[in-house]
Amino acid sequence: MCGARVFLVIVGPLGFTLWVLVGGSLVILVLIAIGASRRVESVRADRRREDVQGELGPVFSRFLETQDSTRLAEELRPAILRMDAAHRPVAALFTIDLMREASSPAETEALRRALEEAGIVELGERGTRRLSPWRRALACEMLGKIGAPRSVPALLERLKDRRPEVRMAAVRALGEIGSAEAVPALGEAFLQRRVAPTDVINDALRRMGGEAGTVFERGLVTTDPTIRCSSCFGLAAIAAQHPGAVRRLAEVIALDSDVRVRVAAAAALGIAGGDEVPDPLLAATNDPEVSLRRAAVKSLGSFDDPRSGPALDERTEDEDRETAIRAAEALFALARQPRAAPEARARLDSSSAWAVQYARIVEEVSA
Amino acid sequence: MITLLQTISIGIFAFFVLYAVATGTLLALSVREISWYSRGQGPRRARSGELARHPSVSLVTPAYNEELLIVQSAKTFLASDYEPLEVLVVDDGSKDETFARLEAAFDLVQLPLRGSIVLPTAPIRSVSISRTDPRLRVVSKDNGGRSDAINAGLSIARGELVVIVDADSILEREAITRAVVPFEVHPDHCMAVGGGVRVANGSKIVGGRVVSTGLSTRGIGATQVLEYLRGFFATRIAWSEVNGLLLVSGAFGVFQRDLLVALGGFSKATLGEDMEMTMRIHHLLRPQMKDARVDFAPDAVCWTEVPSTMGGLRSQRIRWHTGLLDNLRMHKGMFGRPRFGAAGTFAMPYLVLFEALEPLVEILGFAIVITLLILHAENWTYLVAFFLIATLTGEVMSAAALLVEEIGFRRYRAVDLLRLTAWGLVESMWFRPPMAWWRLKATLLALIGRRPGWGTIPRGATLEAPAQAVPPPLTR
Repeated sequence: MCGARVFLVIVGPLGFTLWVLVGGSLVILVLIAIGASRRVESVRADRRREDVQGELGPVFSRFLETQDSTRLAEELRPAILRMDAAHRPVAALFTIDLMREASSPAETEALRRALEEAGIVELGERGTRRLSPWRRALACEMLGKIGAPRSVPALLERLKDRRPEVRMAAVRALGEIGSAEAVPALGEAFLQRRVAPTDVINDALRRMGGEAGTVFERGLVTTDPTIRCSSCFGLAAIAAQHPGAVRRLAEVIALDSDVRVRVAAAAALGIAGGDEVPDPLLAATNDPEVSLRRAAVKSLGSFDDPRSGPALDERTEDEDRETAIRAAEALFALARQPRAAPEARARLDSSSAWAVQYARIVEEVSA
Repeated sequence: MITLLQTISIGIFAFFVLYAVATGTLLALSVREISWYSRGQGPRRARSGELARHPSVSLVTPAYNEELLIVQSAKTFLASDYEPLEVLVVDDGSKDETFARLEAAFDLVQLPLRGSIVLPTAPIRSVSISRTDPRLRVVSKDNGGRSDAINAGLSIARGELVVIVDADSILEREAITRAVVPFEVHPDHCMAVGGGVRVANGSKIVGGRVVSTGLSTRGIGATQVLEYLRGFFATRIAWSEVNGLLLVSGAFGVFQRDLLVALGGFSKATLGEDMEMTMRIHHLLRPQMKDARVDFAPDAVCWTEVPSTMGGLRSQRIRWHTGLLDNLRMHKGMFGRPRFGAAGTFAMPYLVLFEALEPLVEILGFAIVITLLILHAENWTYLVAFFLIATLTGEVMSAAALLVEEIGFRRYRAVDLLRLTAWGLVESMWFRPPMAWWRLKATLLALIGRRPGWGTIPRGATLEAPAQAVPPPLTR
């Protein structure tokens, strides 16, 4: 009682301050309580991880020894069904890591079959409709890592999710599955720049190979320069499965009105590579635009064409430092190509350009 | 007279309430945004192999008299999981053995130095490449200051993106990968990304890696942890969300290289060149490109040693405050202007009110309550009220920042969080008054046209690798 009286004597005259103090202290207490509860929850999560590890670890270890997917499915199903709602996301993370670490395509395929038979894929598909957005995203990620084509419709549905993180997870998952069934929906999303970032959709599409070629072709004629740039790289990535990609990219260098797109096309040609340098790429090495020259000279190194030698030699004296270095590096790259090597070596041997000396030292050091 | 003083003191009280509301709102926004990290979703999606695109990155680190740490720092930078990466150490005319140590450790060979240098700097003496790890380049130049050294690095750098890191910072292995993610999410608009800077004092460091997070046993180190959690994590998450981030820290920031070159490189006219560059990005780009963004990646972490003495802290804070005032003056045109988005309408007023003017208000508050106390002893309640409210405001902010840390990152043990909470309670008794005074001093120095120098922060033992530490492998 005495203590309380002393307290009142001290704070009594402070009036309003007292209420501020009480309110502030309550806020602090609430924040501390939330923090403490999160800490307790994380300790529980650690325990759940141990539980799941204890339950599923031996099952997967046996599979890795025997590679018996039927037995894995038989053991996995009851183990998963025994888990409660809190343990299943942990099991999903466990599955993701397992698929990520699979040592060979055959092992990945066997695991996929077993997980499908055990009903894990079905559980994952249900997970994509959970209330919690992070659980939906996790389910998408797991389905992507498992890679079962039957999950595609469930993932396509998630492209309309209200949370961007979930949509992005669904796009990535569709890319990992690589099923052509997803191309129309992803193609629309890519061309209309919705659902997920352009690069993420592009990455998913190119994993579908030649099927995505038509999407990128359409992308090259849109009005949006970002889509056109991205389409150049998409087309280059699937050039092996999409005949005509190199020709199409060369046309973009020659005809597109936006220099950023021309630069992207020139850089993309370096990814595609080939035996014969398209003329617009060769011409781009003399373009007044520095960024286009830089991209063009670098890409020439990917074509096994002796015609590139003189153009690159000339550019080793370019006023732009980066262009000169790239040209010299491309000459060294050409010197490793079967057809272009003699011309490139002759140019390198006779050159006194500082950029060639620079690239020579880098080559020697890197070797 | 008394009435006037009382009126002013009520005004000061209102100022603190406004500060509490503004910062509290930012912290609440951060808690909401950070919830994804609590589920491990943020870091998970940023694994190196899972980026849709890998733009080439040049890491530029200016070094001046860093012979103690530079070799270990370079090895740590090279051990990043990001590819393609080049590391450029710019020796800014060090008077010690910085260059010689690098030369001995990495077997450097000189590259021809010709061609146009895009940014004017003090003369560049040489550019060398390492025989042991060709991703490492060392630029040696005449002394010209931090901005000049970074600009020299920018001229030599070949990456699409440039990561700028202090030579005494420890970069986590995944830090660059995570800092690159916003460029993937906003490919057209992301211009720069700030990484999260954490205090290394008190943590266990082996081989250039923070292996366990700890807290300095000294109040000055622990209180700065609290400051960094409030300033570097809690509020920046919110500023980034509303696209009003005005500071990408010089300790760890990622920029588009061509953009930096086009903007003329880092300014030598300010002591806060990192903040100036961030403000310049908003100031010059946003009127034409309203969606241009400066983002923050809190899970991209770099560790730094903070001053462990009051003398070191004093010179650092005077320098920071002078830099802040320089930058506010240089970019005053953004103040309150909607064409700069949240950066102009919210972030600039916030900086002016609660960073630039706050020390003035704080010192004025103390002066007034003490005057009132001297004139009328019965007014002691004002002193108590002022002090209690200042303490409480700080503690609410600290508790919220610690909550953001706990929800999103969980780097500290429970006992460390309790210690931080305790340091937060006493912060206003010993830490904030000198800070306010130093910042006021910086303001006065700025008013009479005097500028502090860079000074040096004495190196503690924290960042020095123990002799038995095994460095990470250099080549992969």
